[in-house]
Amino acid sequence: MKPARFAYTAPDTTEGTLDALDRFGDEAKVLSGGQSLVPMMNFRLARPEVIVDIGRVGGLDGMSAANGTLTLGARVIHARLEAPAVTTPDGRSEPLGGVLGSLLPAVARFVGHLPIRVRGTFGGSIAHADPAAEWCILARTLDAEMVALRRGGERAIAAADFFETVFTTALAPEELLAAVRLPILGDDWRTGFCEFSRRAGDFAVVAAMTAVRLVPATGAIAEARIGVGGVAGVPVRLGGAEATLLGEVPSADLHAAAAAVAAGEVDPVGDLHGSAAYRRDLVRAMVARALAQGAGSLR
Amino acid sequence: MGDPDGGRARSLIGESVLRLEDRPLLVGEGRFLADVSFPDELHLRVVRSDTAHGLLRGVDLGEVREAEGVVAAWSAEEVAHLGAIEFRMTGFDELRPHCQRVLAAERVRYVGDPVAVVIAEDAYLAEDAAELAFVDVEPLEPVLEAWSPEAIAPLTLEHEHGDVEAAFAGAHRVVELEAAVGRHSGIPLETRGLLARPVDGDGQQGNRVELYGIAKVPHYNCATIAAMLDLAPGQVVGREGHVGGGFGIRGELYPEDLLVTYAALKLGRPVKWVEDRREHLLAANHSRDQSYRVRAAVDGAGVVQALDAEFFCDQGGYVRTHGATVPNLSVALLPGPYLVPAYRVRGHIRLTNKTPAGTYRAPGRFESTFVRERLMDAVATACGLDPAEVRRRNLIPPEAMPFDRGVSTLSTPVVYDSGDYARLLERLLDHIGYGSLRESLAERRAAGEMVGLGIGMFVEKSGLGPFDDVRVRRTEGGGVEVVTGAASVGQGMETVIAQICAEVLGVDYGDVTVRHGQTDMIGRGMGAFASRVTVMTGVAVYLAATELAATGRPADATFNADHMTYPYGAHAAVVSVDADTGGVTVERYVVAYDVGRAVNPMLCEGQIIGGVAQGVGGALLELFSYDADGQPLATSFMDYLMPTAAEQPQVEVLLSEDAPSPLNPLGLKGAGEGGTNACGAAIAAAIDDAIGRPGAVTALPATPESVRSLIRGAVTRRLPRPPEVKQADRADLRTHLSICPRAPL
Repeated sequence: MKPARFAYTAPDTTEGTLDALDRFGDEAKVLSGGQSLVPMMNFRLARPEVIVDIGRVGGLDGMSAANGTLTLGARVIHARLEAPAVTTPDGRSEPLGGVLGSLLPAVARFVGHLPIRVRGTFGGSIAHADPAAEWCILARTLDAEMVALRRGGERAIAAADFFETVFTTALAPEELLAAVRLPILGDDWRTGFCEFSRRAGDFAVVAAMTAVRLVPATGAIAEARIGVGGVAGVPVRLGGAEATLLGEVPSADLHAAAAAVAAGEVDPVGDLHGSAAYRRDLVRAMVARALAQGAGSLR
Repeated sequence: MGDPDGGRARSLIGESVLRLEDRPLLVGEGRFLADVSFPDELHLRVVRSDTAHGLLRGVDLGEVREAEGVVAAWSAEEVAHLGAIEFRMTGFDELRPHCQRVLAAERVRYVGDPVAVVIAEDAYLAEDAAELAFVDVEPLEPVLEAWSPEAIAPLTLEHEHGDVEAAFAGAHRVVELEAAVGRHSGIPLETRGLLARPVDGDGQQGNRVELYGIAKVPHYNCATIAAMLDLAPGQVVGREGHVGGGFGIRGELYPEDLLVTYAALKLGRPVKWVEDRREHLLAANHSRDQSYRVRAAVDGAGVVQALDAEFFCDQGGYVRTHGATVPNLSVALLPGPYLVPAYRVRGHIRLTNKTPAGTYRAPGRFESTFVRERLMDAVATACGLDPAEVRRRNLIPPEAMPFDRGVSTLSTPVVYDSGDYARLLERLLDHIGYGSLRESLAERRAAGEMVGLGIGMFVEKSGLGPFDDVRVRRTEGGGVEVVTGAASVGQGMETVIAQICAEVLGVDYGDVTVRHGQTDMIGRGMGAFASRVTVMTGVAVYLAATELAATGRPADATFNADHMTYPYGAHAAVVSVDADTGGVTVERYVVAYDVGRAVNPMLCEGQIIGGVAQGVGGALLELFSYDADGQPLATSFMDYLMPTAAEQPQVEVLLSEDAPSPLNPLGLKGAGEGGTNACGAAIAAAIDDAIGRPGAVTALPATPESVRSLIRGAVTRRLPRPPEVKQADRADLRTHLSICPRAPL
């Protein structure tokens, strides 16, 4: 469990980072906290020739809200999302309120353990693309946009296109994930997040996030998002279950019906922590609970 | 809590004084194996089989030897003269052909089987070079179940006493069940490791070798290594440092110990090997993995008149130093605290293509207690009796003490020395408010929760002899030095030994220095295992200190013991089950344990609480699973799941001293294993109660998936019926059980 030989560079600037990525291409791997990458290197499951450590790069750890979008710098550590605060245009820091202000801490507490949360980063988790990772599920469920920089260019990648398969994303070797943009959900949204893991802090066996927008006058569901992790190579959206909810008023029966559809929609692969059938069973439970949580009938 | 300065005024034995061991650990002066380094040291890396079973056609180390920093690389032929590692305990001739050689030749038998070693200038280069080894294996079908007809079947342990057939013929009812405990093991925080350093001795250069990282049984290991390397016993010197947990598995003699020592002598430089965690999960002893079929002949009052049992022990690829110890203990202690007048058991030792197995905290008891207590619960259900009541009716009464169990283990007849089992049970039931607790749980169940209570009882064993030596002398400045051949694996033995010594001499226990694990300081020693140190070393120091007090001169003393002492306990677990996920939360855990006399109650409680953590792991989480090709699936802490602080319940300990041992002058019994013993039993019973399906849990660990399937109405898993096993001749059997050699002195 000693890593294979690698070269290490720690640029001070974004430009320096992009130069390094441009130069080393797919021989390079970006280190942003290293809470997954370093163990994988120690097991020699990952053998990058060059580590580009972005820990010294300034300007990648900001959080700001503008024009209906919350922008999270790639180097924001998990722990900061337990009590998220944004920087205002005049440079002040203020707590993030609203629906995301409640949702992010509720999710953050499931991310690993405290030592992991104070070193590991939001962007690192997204770029690592573990299909059961909380932030990947959140990004997929809320249709986040990933901001990818390369020398002389920038592009935004939709979550639906970003996650390709296990540990594999649409990022090109010369691209750096610099930030993630999340839509700021209005107060008419109701969100829930439930996760089942074997122990506190483990990756989820199955986790589900739900977000529904209610029509204020009627209380009916106008928009619905259901994302689950732990059932495929990427976090998935469950369109069938989402459709079940549209136009309906939240109720225990409705949630059960949507959860049943959700369980039928997934096609999980089993491993030693849960067979395919068990994971499907868990999808039903987690989706139902997340919906109930959003409706306020479950903590 | 501790008050070191108050020790003189009152009896130190029985005081929860703070540990002498803690200061160096807390101030960063711990010296574990990886902390020890010498200039010019080399690093050893083991090349391991990545095939579970196959013919070893060859190992090509050509590229390895050319690699940067490599000093030497060897496969089996270079070390063939070292031979195979013998049994330390419970050896049988039938098992001897299955001892592990230091490197595999001809055949590999599990993923992790050492096939070559690389010695290089640093650990990174050694690991780089090891990857270049070409191991040519022709794969064979792996054997992955102990009851498979293909499993090598070297030995069946058998025992019978009383008229079993008559009891079953006359039984009011017969209660049967099948149950299995999965493969898991002790996972010390500090992995194994060894540093061998050639030193000058007797005026000759490099004539001796010092071993750092040696643990548990330093004298035995040094003597055995010396014998295998054709050295005189004194040429291999054990230098025990701090040890980060033993649990039975760490400190046994493994192939790596021989390879490291041999390399240091051959190359004339210090050689260091620090096991990494993946290696540890592949290569250090696994344990448990026993599958039982049992039946009880029960009379009209719910009293078990006979117990008939058969079990399979999955030994893995080789038989290591423990020989038949684990199944031997299962055979002896399966009847537990109950009368069981007639008893028949057959325990089949089977070799498979998994990591070899050995002892782990409460070996043979975690398994047999799970099965016996499941059986008692089944008897209760069948007879319509309360689980506590059926136990009351079966317990051995105090007036039957000492109670000859009619069976032997570890070369000694099992004679329970003392105990009032019913009294301890009532103490446990009183503490938890048994009746009202059951009512409140029933109310919660009626309100829709899945919550339940389970209890489990057991007899432990401790204080294994045959001897311990201690030397005590006063040192300048008012101190006292104790030298012992026992070992510290982190359990607090220095404190306990110092307390007993200080009590006798009327000094502060902090003035007593306990030296252990240094093989050149005392001629022989038994080390630390089987909850033996407090009893054996404790009494030896009591004898030596008494002589010193009387004569004023340095004193040696030996405590000999032909019989073990038998602490006993009762566990209670309250669990809640998440009906949707099958997840189990242990809400409450209570251990009542009688240790005869507690030298340091705080340390006893610590042993019990730590033991419960490991028991909870075995009951709910920990499992070495394999795929169909024999590839191990749990090779990191992401997949081998030990309980964390979040899963570990608060443990309430009822430490009891009702039954001092009559076998030693202090009344001592050991405290090391009672916390682990009945966790599987109590938690399984609590899950049954919670989900409303008596007898449902028959396999551990009770994973969420398995519990969820039980909730959904799955039928209990049945073991495949094994082929009929030929009964060994009874006369042979008696011989088997009496020839178990003692550990070499």
